[in-house]
Amino acid sequence: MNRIRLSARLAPNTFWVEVEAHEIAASARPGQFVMVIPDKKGERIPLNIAHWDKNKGTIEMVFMSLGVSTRKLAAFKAGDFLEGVAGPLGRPAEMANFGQVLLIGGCYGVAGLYPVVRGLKENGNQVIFLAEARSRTYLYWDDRIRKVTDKFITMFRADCFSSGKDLSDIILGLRQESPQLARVIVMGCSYLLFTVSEITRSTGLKTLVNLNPIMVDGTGMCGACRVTVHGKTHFACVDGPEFDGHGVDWKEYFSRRKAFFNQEELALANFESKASDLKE
Amino acid sequence: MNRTRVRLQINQHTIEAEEGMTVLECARKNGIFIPSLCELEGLPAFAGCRLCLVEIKGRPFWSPACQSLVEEGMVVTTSTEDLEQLRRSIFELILSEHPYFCLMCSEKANCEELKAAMARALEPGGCIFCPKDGNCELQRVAEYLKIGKVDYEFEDKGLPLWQKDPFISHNPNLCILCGRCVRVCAEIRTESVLSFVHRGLKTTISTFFDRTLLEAGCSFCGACVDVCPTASFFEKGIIPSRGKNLSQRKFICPLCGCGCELEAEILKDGTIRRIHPASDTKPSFMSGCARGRFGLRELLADFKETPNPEIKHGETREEVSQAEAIESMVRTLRKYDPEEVVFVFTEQHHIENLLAFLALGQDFRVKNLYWFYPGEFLRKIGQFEEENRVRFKRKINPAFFSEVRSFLVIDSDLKCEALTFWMEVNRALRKGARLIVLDSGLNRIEQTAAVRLKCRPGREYLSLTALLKILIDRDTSLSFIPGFDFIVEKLNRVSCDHLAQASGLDVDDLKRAAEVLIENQPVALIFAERFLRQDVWKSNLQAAWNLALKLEAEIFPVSSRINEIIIDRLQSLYPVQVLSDLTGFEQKIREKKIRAACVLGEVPFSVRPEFLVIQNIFKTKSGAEADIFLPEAGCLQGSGHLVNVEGRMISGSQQERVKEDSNSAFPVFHEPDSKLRIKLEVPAIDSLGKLISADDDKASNFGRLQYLPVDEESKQFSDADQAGKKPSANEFIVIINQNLDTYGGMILSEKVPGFKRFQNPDWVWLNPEDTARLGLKNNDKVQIESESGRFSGKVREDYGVTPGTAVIKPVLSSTFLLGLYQKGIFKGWLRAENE
Repeated sequence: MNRIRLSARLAPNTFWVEVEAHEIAASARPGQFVMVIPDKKGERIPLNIAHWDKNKGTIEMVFMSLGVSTRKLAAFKAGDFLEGVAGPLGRPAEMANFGQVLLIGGCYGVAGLYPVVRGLKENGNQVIFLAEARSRTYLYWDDRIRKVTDKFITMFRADCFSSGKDLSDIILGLRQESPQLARVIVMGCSYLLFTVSEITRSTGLKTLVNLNPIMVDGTGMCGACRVTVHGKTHFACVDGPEFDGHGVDWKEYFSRRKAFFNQEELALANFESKASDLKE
Repeated sequence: MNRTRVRLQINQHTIEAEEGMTVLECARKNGIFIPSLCELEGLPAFAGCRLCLVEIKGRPFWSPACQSLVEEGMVVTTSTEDLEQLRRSIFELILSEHPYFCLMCSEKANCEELKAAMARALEPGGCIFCPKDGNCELQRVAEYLKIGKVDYEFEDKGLPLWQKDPFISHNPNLCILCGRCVRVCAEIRTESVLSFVHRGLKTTISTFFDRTLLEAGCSFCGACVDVCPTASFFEKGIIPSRGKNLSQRKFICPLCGCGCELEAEILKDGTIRRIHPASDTKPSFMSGCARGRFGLRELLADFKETPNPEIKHGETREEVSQAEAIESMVRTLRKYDPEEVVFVFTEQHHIENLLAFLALGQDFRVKNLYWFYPGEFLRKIGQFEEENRVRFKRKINPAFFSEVRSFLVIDSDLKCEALTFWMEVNRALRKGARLIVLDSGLNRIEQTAAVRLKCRPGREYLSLTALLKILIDRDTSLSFIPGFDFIVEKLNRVSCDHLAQASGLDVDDLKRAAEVLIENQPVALIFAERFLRQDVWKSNLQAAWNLALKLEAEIFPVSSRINEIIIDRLQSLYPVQVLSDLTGFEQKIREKKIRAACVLGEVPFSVRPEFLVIQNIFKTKSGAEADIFLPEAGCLQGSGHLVNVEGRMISGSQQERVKEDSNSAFPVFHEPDSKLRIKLEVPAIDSLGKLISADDDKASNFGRLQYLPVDEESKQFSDADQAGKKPSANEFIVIINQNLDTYGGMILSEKVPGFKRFQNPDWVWLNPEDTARLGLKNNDKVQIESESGRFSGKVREDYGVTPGTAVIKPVLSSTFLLGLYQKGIFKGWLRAENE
């Protein structure tokens, strides 16, 4: 059981929890994730570690409420207990002095990349952070991230409607502005990961995507999170979650993510009917 | 009524319209689109969204089309560059508070691939997360206005979501404040649960003191969900329809006498996605209630598969085909003397099934054909008619209500027991008719009443007699109707004060009620079965009759169960008897006078005969213990007919018959090679239809015009009872309201979690004064001890209950509860369960 120290809504449908987990806080590294079980009958779901504090013994996660488990998580209040948190899991993000790095975060990925930004900075990199959101309302933690980046850019979909610019214009524009850009790291929804990979493919710019396939145990046993990268099968939980975006078999990846979609929808519908006394 | 017609011009077309129509209605009727978000057909106009502003020649300002009535010679222009520019600006302002990215996102087509990978967001903020995507009225308007951008920053209100209630959730951050939910809730459904709160930028939709819908007394009719143009009010527990292969099936809700036409959306695998009122004849928000739309959905979801026929062999049970089960049934039944066999049926079945069942009974020469009818409402009326040679209407024609100026509703919670009927009454109330409610128990329509007469339980007839006395005293003109002099003479001997006191009412209230009735004629007098579920039911009917005669009012007895009003028609075809009290019946089983029984539906026997056949929609506990179980077509299967409170024979869609062979009543008999030697002669459904439609109108409303004797004595719980001794503190008069929350023997509150919280049959409603006095609070477990046994329940505080009385609404699942129900009111002693 892990006590929740803080539970807040950062933006519409985006939630932030701080949980007591001393061992995880002591050993977490940027890019890693934890498996969370919300309650006794809950399933295990992977969440990126967005921040941790060794002294306080706490870890922080930011997630979106899109199914039963995240619905349960979003309903928790400070002082409540999570059934369990296991981690840190996954390979940490590769750290070295690469020169100039572009980080692209969307949705939960803005928070998920926060430790990676700090890690890269500590390694002497020059970090450009591109936060993608629907509008200013959906952006969070920008103050936190701004402090540790060299350049912080936002891309709001709302602005795109009037300017006509899209993600590819911005990324390719940045590429031109900064020819010494060594790599791009992306975290966010599958569509963002895919789109960025496609945009950078022609430029040859190394693009690392943090994949988020369906994951059950998170330790390489079940194989639910298998992904094909450069023709080779990998388990996202132990070999990733960071992979070369240009090598990912996206078609397979999208179709595997849909595997239990009907069951997920049904579970959510049942959950709503049966547990109508959810905490607000 | 012929309305004057006017001619006007819209966009240079000359159009003829009826006077009283709005410009928007007229334009729509003529295929001219004017965007609008707050207007909805059937709802009072609001002119809140301002999108329907049009140019009317001669007016200095633009006018909202939804609130401008057509006039002779009017010249209207619905679209000019200025108007469209204005609409775009208004719409952008609306969108500044509603996530609008789904309306103009250029990636929408690209991420189609992804759409099937997200369940549903708690707070939708884009198309793939929003359950209303594709069906959102904002999308339609955006398309019309060709909105490509919004010049205002989107502002999230960040208000907490409503998730605590059963069936309905609300996201205030998606709300565009069109006010449809507020209007439908107050004006159409008379709930007045929802309202605008706060002002300016902080305006939201909420309940009184921001309570949950449950606490605010919502009846969960779901109308707010039906009218919401966005996903702000949303039905809980349904799967988004996006990209799904859906089939629709219309059916009639069999849960109460209204027989609302509902529509089920069914997924490919047979899962019922949602049930909502069908909107063919009237706007969907005008019919349906929590029982049909939420209760049935969850109940039927749990029983997706039709149960298989079963035969019991000793201790084991074998699943067999329908033909085998019927064959076995016929063989066994033949072993018994027809005198020893009974056929019993309940009401929630398609008429076709009922007729086939009765025909089978007749084929066996069974004399004991019983309709299990614990309420006996129409039987009692029939008896009364015979004894007094008078006649009441059976079929209700709501069209008549538009002419009624005042309604006197006695002991009937129309909102709960006959909702469609109530909506029609309410429609007349909105046009200025007045409502008087006389009720001793809990009644949800009271809040709308001009005068509330909260009499003592069992003293309804005294209250009505008091009203009659006031009327007679005021109007001294003679009447030549037989019996009048006798009544006048008798009433002259009692004072109004005495009658008022005996009925527990205030004389002034009675006088006010009389005033309303005199000044607002014609009057309709409405009562339902609770009025007759009392020992003094005859006195009640006499008093109602006399009052109606004096007022020249129409009397409407409202039967609240489906098919209820065909009982006497069935009796003209078959020797059907009414079975209400099970004690005598069970005694016969014990004495082996009854040895075999065929039951269609669920009857709470405590003793079972030697051989028992049950045909039911669900395999309930009794079905699972029967010697033979036969499945029956449920409301969603087949296309059978039901008869509603209006006496209309109605049927769902005729298009689809599911599992035809296993579900129609007894198809095996019709097979040519059947070895059963039975030839069922089932009357054609049309013949019954003709019987139903033929009758009523020929019968005059009044039969023989005569005043009946009046009762001015207090009978039940008479004052003499209590004279000299004060009732003990925990003594209550308990009133039993009707519970219609069952289907095919399944109790909704047991199978649908939301129902348990919303309408629990265990609740004991008490006035907060009483609970404070007894040191009880909501949900405390209590017992009511009566002469016949103990009822256990949970406290539910409600100011609608008179102090000293308690209201219960049990499901008739045992002979004990059946006994209590038939008493209607009884004296009980309340104790906290831990005492």
